[in-house]
Amino acid sequence: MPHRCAGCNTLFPDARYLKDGCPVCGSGKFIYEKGTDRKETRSQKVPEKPLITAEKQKEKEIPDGQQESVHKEGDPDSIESIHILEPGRYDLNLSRLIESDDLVVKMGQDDNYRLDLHSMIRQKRKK
Amino acid sequence: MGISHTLSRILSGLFQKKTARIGIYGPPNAGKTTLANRIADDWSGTVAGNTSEVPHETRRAVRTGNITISGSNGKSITIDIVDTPGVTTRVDYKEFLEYGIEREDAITRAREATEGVAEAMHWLREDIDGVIYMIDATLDPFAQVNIMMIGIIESRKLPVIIAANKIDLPDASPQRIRTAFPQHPVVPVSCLEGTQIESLYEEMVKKFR
Repeated sequence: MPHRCAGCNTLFPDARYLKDGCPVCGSGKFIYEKGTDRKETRSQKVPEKPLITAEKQKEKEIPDGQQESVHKEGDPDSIESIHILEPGRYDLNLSRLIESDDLVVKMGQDDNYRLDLHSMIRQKRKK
Repeated sequence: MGISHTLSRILSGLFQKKTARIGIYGPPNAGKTTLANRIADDWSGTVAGNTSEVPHETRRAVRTGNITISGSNGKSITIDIVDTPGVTTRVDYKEFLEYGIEREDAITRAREATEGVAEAMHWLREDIDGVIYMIDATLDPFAQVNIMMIGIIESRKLPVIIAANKIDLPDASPQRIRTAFPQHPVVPVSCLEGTQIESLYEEMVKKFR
């Protein structure tokens, strides 16, 4: 079952890294790739430790525009509520935004999310 | 006065419904703020927000409180109207460049619009008791955002009225919207000119009571 790392976008041929996280960037979030040809998946040996940061890996592996083909506009299967294509360009997953406990209070200048952690804790307590 | 009666009063006080909050949702430039302003002007003499031809003019939810709307049957509702930022599945600063906005300002506007959509969805989850969903009747109602939003509103079991806006324009087709969403009341209106706005008020009194 091929899985793609949500952090650095690396495609893995099987689910062996789901438990311990991505060996490239350390992210614990993966997207199951439906119908992906196993030949397309990462074939070379994965390094034991991350050699470069996730951001650099993203820049290296994903040329401009290619990201959009992975994250389709309004893709309900996306695990992200807001996907940053580039500064000023965002894909929004409306279903995820309403289901998620995350309350985005600010998009930072560097296009990071800022989340209201207090509200998330309060919601958990209410339940 | 027995204990059970006192207890009942306390409990009813505790669980008394707050003023219903009615959210105006829809894609950018559907006329949400124009409707919010018309409702506020018609029933409380105030203004809810600024309007513009540039998409995403409203980037924060704006609440106008304690508006009482009366129907022709003598019944009335008191509601808070929440004008929300336009909901969309993609925000792109390049769209704003076409309106002569500088690149840096367009990027800032896109960030704020994205925050606005997140905020609108949070309101829908936490604080909204009913929805007026605005659709520009000159456009295809089968747009992805309309299908998704109506689905989300239905899944949350919120009462909804669809306002088919801009019927003053020659290309408007409220019938297309009725065909797309036959399960919900569709009220053709022109919020700008006030055409058939009374029908919307009647439907609101009926639906949001």
